[in-house]
Amino acid sequence: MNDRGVLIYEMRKFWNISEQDIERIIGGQAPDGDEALEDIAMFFKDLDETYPEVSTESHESAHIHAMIQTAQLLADNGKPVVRPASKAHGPESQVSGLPNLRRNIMVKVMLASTRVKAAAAGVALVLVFGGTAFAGVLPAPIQDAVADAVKPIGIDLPNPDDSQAAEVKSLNNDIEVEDSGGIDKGDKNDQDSVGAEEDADSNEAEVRTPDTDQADDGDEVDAPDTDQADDDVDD
Amino acid sequence: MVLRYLRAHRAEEPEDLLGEVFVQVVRKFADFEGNEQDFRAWIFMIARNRLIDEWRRRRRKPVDLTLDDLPASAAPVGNSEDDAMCRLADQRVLLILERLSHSQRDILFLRIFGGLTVVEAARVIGKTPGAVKSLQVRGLAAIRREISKETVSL
Repeated sequence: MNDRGVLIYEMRKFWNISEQDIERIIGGQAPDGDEALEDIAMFFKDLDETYPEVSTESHESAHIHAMIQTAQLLADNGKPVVRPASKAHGPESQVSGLPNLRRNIMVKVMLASTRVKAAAAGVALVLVFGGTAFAGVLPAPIQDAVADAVKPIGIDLPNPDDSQAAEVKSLNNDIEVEDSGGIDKGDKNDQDSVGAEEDADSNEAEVRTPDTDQADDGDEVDAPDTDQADDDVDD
Repeated sequence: MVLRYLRAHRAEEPEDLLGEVFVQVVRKFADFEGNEQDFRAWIFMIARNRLIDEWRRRRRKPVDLTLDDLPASAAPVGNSEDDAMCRLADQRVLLILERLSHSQRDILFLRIFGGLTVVEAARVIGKTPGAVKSLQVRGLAAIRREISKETVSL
């Protein structure tokens, strides 16, 4: 049998395998009693070991930091997340401060939104790094919000009051997420610097082609030349 | 999971790309609706789109698997014999993966590293579940064919 014949034979064979057995194979286990599929199951086991789940703590911290900064920026209703690349259209309005009442309302809105947005970050972390890596990394109020946010989708997170959650607090100082009283002047400075970083990011966003922006929205975008013909294995 | 997916696709800076994925997750979280599995698929959709963005920036085809560019697992694990064996195993995996089309690899990576079902993988790459199953079968058959070639050559 030539190469093509072998391929067709193999395809017929795999086409008739149940989805559960396929899952077992790609999980590195041959279906029960089928020794003929052991070699391919072994291949997937090797593949799994070729790409181990490795991430350094510094990277994790950087990711958390970036997400919380983004969350804070998104929560800041007074400033758009994507800012103009230049000031050609005119300077931004210079506002020295909002009336007290309005400022209080803004802070409340911002806090609520920050908690929700940080919850998103937490969910992502739970799914990507696992619950133990996540536990205690975020400030207690944020983690509390995360726990509430992920409950409906079936994820149980440790209670922030647990001793485990209270252990890791080094990041809290860096992030300075407000836990009850909103943002003080120092935080405002931090926010400004964050804003500068975000500006750079925004510039990048602005020069993107429309289809790239679609990609950002989670819509499908075909990569050029990525979708080779399905039958190219026949080569 | 996402990091492994990005690494397997030979992202230039997988850790940085992962950071971008996270930030995007935060930005777009308000638009998300669904359960945990949907969320997982959604994250992989974002990761895949970021990967496509990177490929576009680099103006090149998605994956050029080369043996000189083995992943981090190829780092020394102990004595030299074990290292050599690991290296050989990794090379073998890459050689076989090289034989697959990009789409086939993508499906298998999404299923292995993302733990996605056929339907979820289909949603991520924007194809029908039938097309994904077909790609998966072709990929598995191609892998099997390569393995059988190894056996014959021995």
